[in-house]
Amino acid sequence: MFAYIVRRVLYAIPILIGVNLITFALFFVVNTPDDMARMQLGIKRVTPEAIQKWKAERGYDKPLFINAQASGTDKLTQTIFYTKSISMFAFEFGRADDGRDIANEIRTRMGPSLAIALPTFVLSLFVTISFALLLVLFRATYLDFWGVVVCVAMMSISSLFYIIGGQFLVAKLWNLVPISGYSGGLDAPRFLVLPVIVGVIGGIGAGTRWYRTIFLEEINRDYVRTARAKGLSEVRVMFGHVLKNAMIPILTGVVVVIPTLFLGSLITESFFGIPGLGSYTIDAINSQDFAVVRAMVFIGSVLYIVGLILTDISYTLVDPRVRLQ
Amino acid sequence: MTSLFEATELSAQIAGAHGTVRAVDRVSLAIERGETFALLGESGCGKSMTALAIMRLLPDGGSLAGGSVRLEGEELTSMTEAQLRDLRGGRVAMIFQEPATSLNPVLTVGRQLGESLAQHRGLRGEAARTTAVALLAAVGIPDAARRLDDYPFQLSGGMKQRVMIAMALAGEPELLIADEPTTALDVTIQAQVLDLLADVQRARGMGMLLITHDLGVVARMANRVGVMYAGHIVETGSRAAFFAAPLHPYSRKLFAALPKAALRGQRLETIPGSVPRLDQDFRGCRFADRCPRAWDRCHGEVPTWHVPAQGQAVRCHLYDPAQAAPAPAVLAAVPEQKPGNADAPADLLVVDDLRVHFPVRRGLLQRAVAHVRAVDGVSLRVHAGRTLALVGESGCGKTTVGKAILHLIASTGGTVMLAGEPVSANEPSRLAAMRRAIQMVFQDPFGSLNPRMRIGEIIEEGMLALNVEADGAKRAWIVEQLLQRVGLDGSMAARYPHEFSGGQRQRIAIARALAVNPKLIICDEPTSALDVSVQAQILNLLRGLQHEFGLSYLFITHNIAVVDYLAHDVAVMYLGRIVEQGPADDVLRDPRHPYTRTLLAAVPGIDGEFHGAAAAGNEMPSPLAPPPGCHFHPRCSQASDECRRSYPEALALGAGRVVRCHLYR
Amino acid sequence: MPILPVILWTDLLLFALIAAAIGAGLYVRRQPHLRAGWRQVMGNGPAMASATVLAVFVVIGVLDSLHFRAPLEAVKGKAPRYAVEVQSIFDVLVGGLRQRTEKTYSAPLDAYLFAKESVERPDGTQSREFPRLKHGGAHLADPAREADADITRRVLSGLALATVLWLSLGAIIAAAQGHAHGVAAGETWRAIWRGETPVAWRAVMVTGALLLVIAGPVAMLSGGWHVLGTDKVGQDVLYLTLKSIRTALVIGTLTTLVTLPIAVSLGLLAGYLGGWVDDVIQYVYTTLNSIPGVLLIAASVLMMQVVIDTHPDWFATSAERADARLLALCLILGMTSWTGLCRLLRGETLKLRELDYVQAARAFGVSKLRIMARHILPNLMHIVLISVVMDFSGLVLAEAVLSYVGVGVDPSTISFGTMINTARMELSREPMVWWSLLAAFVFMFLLVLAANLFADAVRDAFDPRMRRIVRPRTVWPAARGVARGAA
Repeated sequence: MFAYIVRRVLYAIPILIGVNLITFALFFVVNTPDDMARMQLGIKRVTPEAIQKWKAERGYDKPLFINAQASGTDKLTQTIFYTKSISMFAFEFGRADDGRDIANEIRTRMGPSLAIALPTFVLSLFVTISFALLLVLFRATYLDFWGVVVCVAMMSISSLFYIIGGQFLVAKLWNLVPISGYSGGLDAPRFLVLPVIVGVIGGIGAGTRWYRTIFLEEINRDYVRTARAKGLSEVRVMFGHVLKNAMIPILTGVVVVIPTLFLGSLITESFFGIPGLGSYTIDAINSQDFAVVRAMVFIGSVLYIVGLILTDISYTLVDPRVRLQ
Repeated sequence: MTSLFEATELSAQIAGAHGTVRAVDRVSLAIERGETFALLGESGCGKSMTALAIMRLLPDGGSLAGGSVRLEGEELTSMTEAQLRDLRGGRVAMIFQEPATSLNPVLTVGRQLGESLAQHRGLRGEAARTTAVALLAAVGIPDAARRLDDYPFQLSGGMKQRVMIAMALAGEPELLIADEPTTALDVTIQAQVLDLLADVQRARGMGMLLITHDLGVVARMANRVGVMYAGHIVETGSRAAFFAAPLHPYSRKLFAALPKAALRGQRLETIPGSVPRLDQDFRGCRFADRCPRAWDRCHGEVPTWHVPAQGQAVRCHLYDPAQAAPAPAVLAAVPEQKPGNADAPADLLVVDDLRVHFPVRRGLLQRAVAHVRAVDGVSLRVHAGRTLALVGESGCGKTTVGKAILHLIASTGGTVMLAGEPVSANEPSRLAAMRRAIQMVFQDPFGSLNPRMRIGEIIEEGMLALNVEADGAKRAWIVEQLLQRVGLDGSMAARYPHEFSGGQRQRIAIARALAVNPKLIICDEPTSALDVSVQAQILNLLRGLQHEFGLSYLFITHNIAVVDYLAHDVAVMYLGRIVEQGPADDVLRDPRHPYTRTLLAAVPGIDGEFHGAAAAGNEMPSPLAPPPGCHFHPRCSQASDECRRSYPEALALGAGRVVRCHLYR
Repeated sequence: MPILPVILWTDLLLFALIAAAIGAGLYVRRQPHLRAGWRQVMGNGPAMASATVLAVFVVIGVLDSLHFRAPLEAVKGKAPRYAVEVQSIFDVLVGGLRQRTEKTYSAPLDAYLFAKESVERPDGTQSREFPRLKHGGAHLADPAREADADITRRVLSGLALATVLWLSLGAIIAAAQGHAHGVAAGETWRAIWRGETPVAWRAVMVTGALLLVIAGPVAMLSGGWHVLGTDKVGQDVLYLTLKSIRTALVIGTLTTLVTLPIAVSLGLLAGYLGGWVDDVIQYVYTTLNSIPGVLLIAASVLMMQVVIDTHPDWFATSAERADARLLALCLILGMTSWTGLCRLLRGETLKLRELDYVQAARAFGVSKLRIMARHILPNLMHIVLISVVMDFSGLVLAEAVLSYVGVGVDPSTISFGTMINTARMELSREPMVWWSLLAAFVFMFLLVLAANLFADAVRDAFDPRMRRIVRPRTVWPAARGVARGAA
């Protein structure tokens, strides 16, 4: 078990290096820093001095890989690659365009992101799995048929409309909660309840259908027939046997998401004005703050890899056949 | 007094692609206490559906379509679902064919047993645990208390089936329905499980409905027999009467199609055609189209039951006392064919010390920490124009031997000589020559043909790859000839595999192998997925081809009867090694190695006699950690200290016989 | 004077895709297993209803992909000059809907602007009132009195047109089908309505009727009105939604065009060859997969935008620039989304390569390439097909989100995403402006729903696992009662 985890962590290193190289190539090789400067400063007002200043402010005024002018180890360290890429492994992300420390910003914005993403995730899982179980219990009846039709209809609606509709109905028409905004402490639920509900409803269609497929696949297996032949009721077959076996495919999709909850949701946070990492990212994209986007890409992949490892570990909890080796 | 169990005119239907399928059609049967009723039939005849219909456990889309089911006079079909649940696993218990998939993989044995105990006997906690241990011990599971906390994957196939039986017994059933309980098990394990079933039945006085396709199992277990065909029971009778004189033409055909030593060198009887589709209305006898004795009446009138002899009933017009049936057509005398000339045949294939080891990787760096010795020093000789049967139970490595000879799996050591020339993977020309000379026919008729290719393309593929015939028109002609030779129509070349039945697919696979004019065909259990009547067709074909083309076969199988019928020589394999080999007659009549004896003794014969107890409740150990010394010693009743210490050397007994056992030193 | 045809990159690829689809259709005709699957799809009512809706969308999208530049007034002796603006055949067909812009918002079927403005009266005084629209209802002297009559007249004539079209559609289908099967057209017509045709033509006819009942009156009304109102800068909302269709189709289909070759070839190679090839391919897709999708797309789009912006000289017209960005978005979406399919195909290949028929081919010494092409790939095609149709709706939805985030299509490209993005604050205006959002919602919902239903039918027909799952169509609850309840 321990050796397995160590091996998985070691395997994560080449992947992170790969991620790093991809982002580096995207940000610094596809376009030169000069191009980026020109683009940000606006094509018309651009002067060589302005470009130099822009680059110097962000530390982009160094050579890409090898600094011929420096000496010793500086030849390698005084480069964009070293300062912008290698430093990421130490979670040093530098400063955003507005001068704030990115790492610090990420730390403070994680809370609000999690405050929305975690309840949405848990509730959504509960609701969709319950609905799916219900449909499967009544499989091959009209309830199942229309349930699936409703699911398909619900998943055909863009998430943007769920948010717009939710804000319009609940906040504007019925005036139950504020349309957007956020505050910490006891006041938080007032701001959180709408985004969470909207998030849950938006996920019902696709989620229910997905879990229904998983359950249906399980329910045709031989051991289910054995359980029925024992005289167990359909409900007990479902909860005692099917659900436990279905946990394996369910965990595959679910656990990997958990760490990335920290990143928050771009759309939800931006619509509801939540000062989390999602809105941070979206602001960075809109203001073309490359340093922030790069940092978020890196953190995102670290969290994803953590999720993969957690997924493997979680299998041992539900599947006795898995002995991590 | 009422029977323990009685089904009258029971019908069940299921939604099929072309309409409603009457899988069970007015089936009537009765079982007394302490009696075993065997429901015999080939695949798709509706015997499993009958069992599920009795329990009302039909799959989604299936439903009862009429009839009544009574347990001690109590009607089951009108019970509510809740009443039925008390019955299922309680008074009526069921065990299934595939122990590997029928147990819930993520729950412990104890938990799954406990469910039954709680449901039907209200036992919980310590009381349940004690009872569960007793039950496991009763079905012959050693160290039962510890096994309770095991998961199914930690048990072998035979153990799983024992657990299934224990679960069935947990509710103290009056009737046990066993649906092909030993079909997925090896023959030595089958013998043990059958013994166990017979024991528990005797001890508890249960009635048992045994569903099987295997005449041997019926002979071993049943008091009474019902033969099922196309959703109908066509014949019932006591075991003795049935085996002495089966009445229905179908039953007779089943017996005649069984391969056995006595029929060696003769054609087996086959049943032409295939089982009719069950989504139609039958106007006559369902077997009429395939029956050698059918006449007009059989096609126009559904036969009723006749009782020609005490305790035997048959649904066939032949036995209508009011009707003089036409005399049976004189069957063309089956030509007696002498086996190939016996004078010192040349060796075609010589395998010497073949080894296939698979590494087991563990730890941080995935280093190979051990090797599974799937094949560990196998030496074989296949003579030109003769058949060598490689016999062994699942997991002994026999299929790996076949694939390693063909270089489908890389071998770790040893040599393969083909007609005196060594074959090596490093020399493409020799490899190609080997591939022309040796071909393979696989076990699963559904996996061995690419569903996306036409039959013609499938057969052509080898000719193209090995440059046997460059001219397209000639290839097409050869394909047509081959199809006709294996008993199919030349025009079928344009069709796709899904239009063919299992037996037909196996014929196509044989034609594919023949297309490159091989000298040797490795047959990997080519008939084990087929029904007896279809198996007979394939065996006839293989035998005919051998005579016609002087083919050699390396016939990999676990079916002793087939070996007895077909093989000239036998090699018995156990845990990666050959333990005994020699001429088939000698080895099968006078087995020397204790394992060979166990294997032969475990095969249930159809004479209704049982030859004696099989080996102790042990199963084949894992090839990853074979026992020290002779691999067989833990299961061997004659094992000595020497056997525990060293693996016996090969010992020639004369007349081509070799055995590896310390007993003959 | 001739027009100057303009072939944008996406047009070219779209037509290439249509050609490929036709080619695939011809291939399918020769493959019985695929033909059987499609026959099942075509016999499925909901699937054919969705296909009808999709077909209408596709026709609009294709017409909107035939681009040209109109000639400017000729000057003798000089080379002909062309308008900077790129138009499509669709723009021409909708008859100037494109040019009929108002000043700002106006409600659907209204003759006045939505907001009051200071208007100088002929007598020189100023007053605040709702000004008349330049185009909407402009043909009427007194809209307050005449509007209802005019609208009714147009709706009725639209319905009449719809009836004529629908009947001729039915006649054509009945005649063609009758001809193909050697039955009289009348008999075929009745068979269609009894639902006895192997292809679910009844569903097509019903859906066609519904679409025509809406489209006929809308077409008639749009000649003189803004049927769905106008947006902030006065553009006709109906026109915008119809133009969005092409963008959605391009994103939904061209992305797949990028994804497929990569996913199929790498999945096949990794699964069949194994060893270091497998290791490398797995490494590549795990790495790509580990970057959160939106972020990777965002980063790529940002960088691509820099490239486009720093090379304005590459593009002759703004349409070409917007098109380049659309194409790049497809490429980026494709590059970031092939991993799922690739992994799926790798797993399936691992299973297939152990099958006996592959072993048999190996026993003949058939080359690896040929085994992959003849034995593995054809047995993966159903997965590829299912994933293509399932991905389409997801991509259409993704476009909206990405455009909202600011990493989607060019802001000048009309798409559902840009429509929603510009209109999203309109619900909180006083008084509320709802028509842009509603129009985008309805059209997008219709497109995605049709795609989803169609994809479901395709999956049911081609995924062998799905066949085990019983549909209520075959087992009605009544039959179940016999099985489960008291018999």
